[in-house]
Amino acid sequence: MKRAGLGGLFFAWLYGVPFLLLVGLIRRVSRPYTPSADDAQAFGATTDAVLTAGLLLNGVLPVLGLLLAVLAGEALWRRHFAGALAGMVLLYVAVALVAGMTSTGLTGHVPADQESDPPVTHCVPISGGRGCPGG
Amino acid sequence: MDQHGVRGRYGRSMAVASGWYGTAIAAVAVGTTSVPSAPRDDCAAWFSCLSPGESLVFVGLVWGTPVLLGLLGVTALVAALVVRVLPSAVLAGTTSAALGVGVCAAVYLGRS
Repeated sequence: MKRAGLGGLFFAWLYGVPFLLLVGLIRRVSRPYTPSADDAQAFGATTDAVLTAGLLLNGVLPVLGLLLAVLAGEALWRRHFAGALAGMVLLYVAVALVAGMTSTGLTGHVPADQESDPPVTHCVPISGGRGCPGG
Repeated sequence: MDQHGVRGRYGRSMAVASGWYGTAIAAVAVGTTSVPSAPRDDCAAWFSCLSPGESLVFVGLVWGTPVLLGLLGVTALVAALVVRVLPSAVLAGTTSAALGVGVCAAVYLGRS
């Protein structure tokens, strides 16, 4: 039972965290079709949630697993989670490298929407440029 | 004894490597299908208006399955060497998957 729990935790980290990060990064670099500004906001918020969950779980799961394995006296899983700490650092470095290639940071990005610009309803005179009729 | 020898470790590291391919495929499938795309109005050409699910099946059958089988074959060869060096099945499987992808990518890029 203890072993199954620790094993589940380990493989949740091993496969779950890269899965979340990969899904988040694919969404982050994609150019989605978001007709309105609200759609774009919602898309960006979901992407942020997936990326944040991946980054947080990457930090939490190996430490939690190492703690539980030490408490349970499981030498095999203690070694696995000690290795997971190194993997955690590697994953953070890999994500940081990808984040360095984006121009606006990894999270908090809102993709462009395809909403048309609001029509101009009043004239703004520009000094030296254009005047307005009647003004 | 067999379970703890190189032979047992080979099986487990191949399972770990297959898990990596499964994870990567699932992440790409979920990631790409979760991105909305603009509706196409010109559907005259064949395969021009597939739904995300349909295109996933199409790409998987035509392109994905042969590539995956090739990757698994290369990984099986690499893993046979790696398990002799690395004591941990998880580490050996992960390394074999990474090396397998690396070898296949190098061959593909070198050929084209």
